[in-house]
Amino acid sequence: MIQALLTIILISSIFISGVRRIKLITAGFIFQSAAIGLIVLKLGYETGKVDYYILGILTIVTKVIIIPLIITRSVKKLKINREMELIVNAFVSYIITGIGIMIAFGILNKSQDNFLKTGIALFIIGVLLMVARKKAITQMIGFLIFENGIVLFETSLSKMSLVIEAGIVFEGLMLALIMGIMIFHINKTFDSINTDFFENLKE
Amino acid sequence: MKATLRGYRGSSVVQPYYDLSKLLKKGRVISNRSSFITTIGPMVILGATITTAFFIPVFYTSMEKTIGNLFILMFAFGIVKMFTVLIGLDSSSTFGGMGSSRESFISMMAEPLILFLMIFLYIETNDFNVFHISFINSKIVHYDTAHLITMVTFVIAILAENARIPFDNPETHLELTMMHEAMILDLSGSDLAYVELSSYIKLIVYLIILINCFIPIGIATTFTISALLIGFISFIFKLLFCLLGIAIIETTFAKSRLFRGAELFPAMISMGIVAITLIYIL
Amino acid sequence: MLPLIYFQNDWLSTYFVFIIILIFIPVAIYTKGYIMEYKKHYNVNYMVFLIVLFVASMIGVVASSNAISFLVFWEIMSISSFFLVIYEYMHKENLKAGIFYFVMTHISGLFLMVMFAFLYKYTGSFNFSEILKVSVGFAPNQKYIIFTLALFGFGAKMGIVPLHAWLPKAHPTAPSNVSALMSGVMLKVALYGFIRVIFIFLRGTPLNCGIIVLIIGTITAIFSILNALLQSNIKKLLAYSSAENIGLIFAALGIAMILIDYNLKMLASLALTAALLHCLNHAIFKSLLFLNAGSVLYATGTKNMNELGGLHQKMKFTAICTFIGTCAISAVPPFNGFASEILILRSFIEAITMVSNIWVIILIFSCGIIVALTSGAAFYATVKSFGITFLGKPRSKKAEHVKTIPLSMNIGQGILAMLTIVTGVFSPFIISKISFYTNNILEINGESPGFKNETEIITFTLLLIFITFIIFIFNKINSLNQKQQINDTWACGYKEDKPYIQYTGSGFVQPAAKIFGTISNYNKKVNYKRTIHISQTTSDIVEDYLYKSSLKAVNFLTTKILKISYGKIQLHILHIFISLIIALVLVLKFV
Repeated sequence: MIQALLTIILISSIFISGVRRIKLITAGFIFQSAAIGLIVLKLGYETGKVDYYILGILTIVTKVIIIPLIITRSVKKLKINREMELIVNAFVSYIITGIGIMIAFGILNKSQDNFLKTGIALFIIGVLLMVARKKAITQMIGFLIFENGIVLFETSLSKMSLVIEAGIVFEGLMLALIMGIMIFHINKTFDSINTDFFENLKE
Repeated sequence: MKATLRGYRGSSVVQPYYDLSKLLKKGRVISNRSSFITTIGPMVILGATITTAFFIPVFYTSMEKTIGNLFILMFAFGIVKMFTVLIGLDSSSTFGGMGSSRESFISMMAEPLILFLMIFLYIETNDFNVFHISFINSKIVHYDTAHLITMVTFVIAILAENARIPFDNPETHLELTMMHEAMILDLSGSDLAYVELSSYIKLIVYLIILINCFIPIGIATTFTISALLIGFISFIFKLLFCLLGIAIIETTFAKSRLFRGAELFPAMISMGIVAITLIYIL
Repeated sequence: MLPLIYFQNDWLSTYFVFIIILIFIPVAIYTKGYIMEYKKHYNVNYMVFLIVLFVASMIGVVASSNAISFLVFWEIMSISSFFLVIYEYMHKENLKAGIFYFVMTHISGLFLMVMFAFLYKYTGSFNFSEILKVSVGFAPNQKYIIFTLALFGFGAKMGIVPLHAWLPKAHPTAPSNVSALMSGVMLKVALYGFIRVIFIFLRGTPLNCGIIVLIIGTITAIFSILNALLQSNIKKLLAYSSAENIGLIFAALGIAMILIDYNLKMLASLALTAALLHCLNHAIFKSLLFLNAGSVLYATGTKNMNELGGLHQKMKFTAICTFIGTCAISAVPPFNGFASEILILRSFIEAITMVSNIWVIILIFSCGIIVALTSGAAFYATVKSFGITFLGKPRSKKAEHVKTIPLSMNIGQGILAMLTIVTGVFSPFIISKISFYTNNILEINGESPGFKNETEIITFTLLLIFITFIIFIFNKINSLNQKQQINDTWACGYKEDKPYIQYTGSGFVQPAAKIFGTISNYNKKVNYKRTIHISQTTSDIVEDYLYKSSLKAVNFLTTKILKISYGKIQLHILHIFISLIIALVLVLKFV
């Protein structure tokens, strides 16, 4: 069961790395976060610790429900085009994602823990997404994927403290809210959220 | 099947056979510029396809030393590809060239997927023979995810090689959207009948490989009547299921542009990488 | 030490001598007819002399058992092939290509000389069998040095990236029979040298060497085939395709080297057998394709695919032979390319399961995927070459006036085509023979497993012929009472039947050009003058960035140095003295 969920996480991240429409990216992100939430819940079921339950529910609530709501609302307000250009084209970005996963798994081949490896793989994918895109919204989603990776990474650590977890989750939520508002303002000022134009701020 | 999904009365199941016999009765019309490729091509294509049909286990398999090397199968389809692409160029029309170039391009990208499939099956079963593979895989009780991922990858490869959505639309006769149809545009009569029949058989053969390598539940491993009967019924069932799946895909998706469709390939390769790492880690 | 000619009865040498002679006979027959073309302008006896010298020197290289005779024959081979490349000296570009080739081949000779010098230093002998005895005790960094020198020396002659730039220049400019010999045989001679040094002398190398070889081979393969896709000159396409196949062989050798280091000798033998088999097969079908290109050139006077087309009507025999060659190179069963292709892929796949280090597995897997892509692209490229040249309608006046081809050229091509089919169908026997000897090379006892089920290819061929025959008869019966019309091609209602509505070669590969265009510096220029003029060019990217910049650097340095010494005798004497001192110091330090 956990294995299947991990696979869903990896597949959804590959999917995200190549599609263009923001709706699809959000859908992938929902799948990914749902899978992580389910994993955490199942871990909680197995170990019986309350912390896991709370974390799982928090993750699901924030990342599966609230954040996509924010994103879709901003998308509707800004009337963003559905398609966007990528800095690396889709072809190469798929392959780089795959290679990134392979390298992540290769580096950590010694350790037996799957969550660690998937977590680090998610790191790489999140950073890739942040770097390789032009629109600010996708960069934000990239950062959120990065956060997913942190959550996974932490589930593999034996000592888990509820406070840290809650802190991370709330931080993600705050970030999403702030980005939503900021993007709205950026759009009002510049009429686009294409980050290329941010360079013009230099003058 | 597609018609049923779309909600109108479709043609009967044996309609393709009627089409074929109608075509066979017609005379051939060949271009004045075509060569021996068009003359012998369709027959060789059909011959190759029927030969591959002999090489695969349908509902009976065993562990003995039999024919059925996976490499020969996959490369035998290379014969079919070679002749089809050359027939496209042979007709000296623009559409033939267009179809051939797209088809070559798509199948060039599909080659790594096929290799990946073979790697995966070899890692699982340590064997290259289709019969053996289906025998060994029929013992598996619990299907792990790497298996399922590879199955999805192979399905995409099947769609690519057999000119289905989202790579090609087998129903369109508008030239700009054709790929497979464009290559055989200039054939008619018995030539067309051979090529059409062989493309039907090719699809079925690919599906049989898919079924028997990945979900060979219920396949007969012993030569008893009951086992054969169970194998036969489950085979028909699985085949219908796959065809239904293809019909659903064809009705719900649209043909994608050449490059957008081609992007699907590296995605599948990445998935393949995930599958291989999974099977190594877990 | 006198360069006495020692020959040896080693199996590896015999195998390669066999390949050389096997290719030489059809090419010689072909030459008899092809040379008529040149009778008007050039001296024919000169070419015959050079070819004989060339082939004899190659046999000498492969058969010599002494380092000095090896180098002597290598020199003769380089020089004779240089003169053959610039045979048509009336075209000035040929001279430039020839000189480029000359420089590269002498760079390779230089590296080889240094390599043999090192071998002498380590073992105290030039004799191969004595080197063999002493080489058991080589330390790893000695192996590294020899490996690097061998890589550069033989690699420059083989055409691996980035030392490949002479291939697409030299092979097209040479006369076609010479190209066949060079592409089919000379590259294999370099491979022979590499195999002998690495596998027999060194008995396997540290892991990094194998990895380097694998990576270089894969990069060569994918780079060359993607460049091949975009060429419109038939011979350039074939030259790049040769580089691709050499890359494949090299990658297989890399896997063998990696496997030896892991002590998986059975699999290493599989990979080595795959490499050797592909040597034989590639020699056969590449020579066939080059001879075909020669026939096309003879008959029409052009090498540009975009001007040809429709040749199948007037050159039926050549068309069939080219078709067989195209099928062979695209690994279509039951021709010979198929057998070696599956062996190479098998060695990749089986190596993945057996190796223990995860990084090596990832590497082999990625290279395997790239190799699969190159075999798909090889299909694409050669189908383009055959289809556009031979099928369809003639695209220009040149293709319509076709000279008839002399019988000897046809016989030469025909022999090679038959060889393709024979080696393809009987590949199981050939494989078992070769594997027996590779086991000897790698010092394994016992026979090799897993080659048994290759006999399926015979079953397959028989079944295929049988079923096709039945269909053929059915067709005959069916069409007895039918009309067969021969009409113009349907062009969607367009009345006129112009040849340029056909696809061109460049158009055929346009999807690939769009995605992979950066690798070959694909440029599309549109000039707006009175008419719109589109030109598409490709160039070799390695040549542009690597060679030209290094040449610029060398030029820069030499102009600086020239300023220092502009003719004073004292400065010259000073130069000589300084170089003498440096040479003395080096010799004293290293010997």
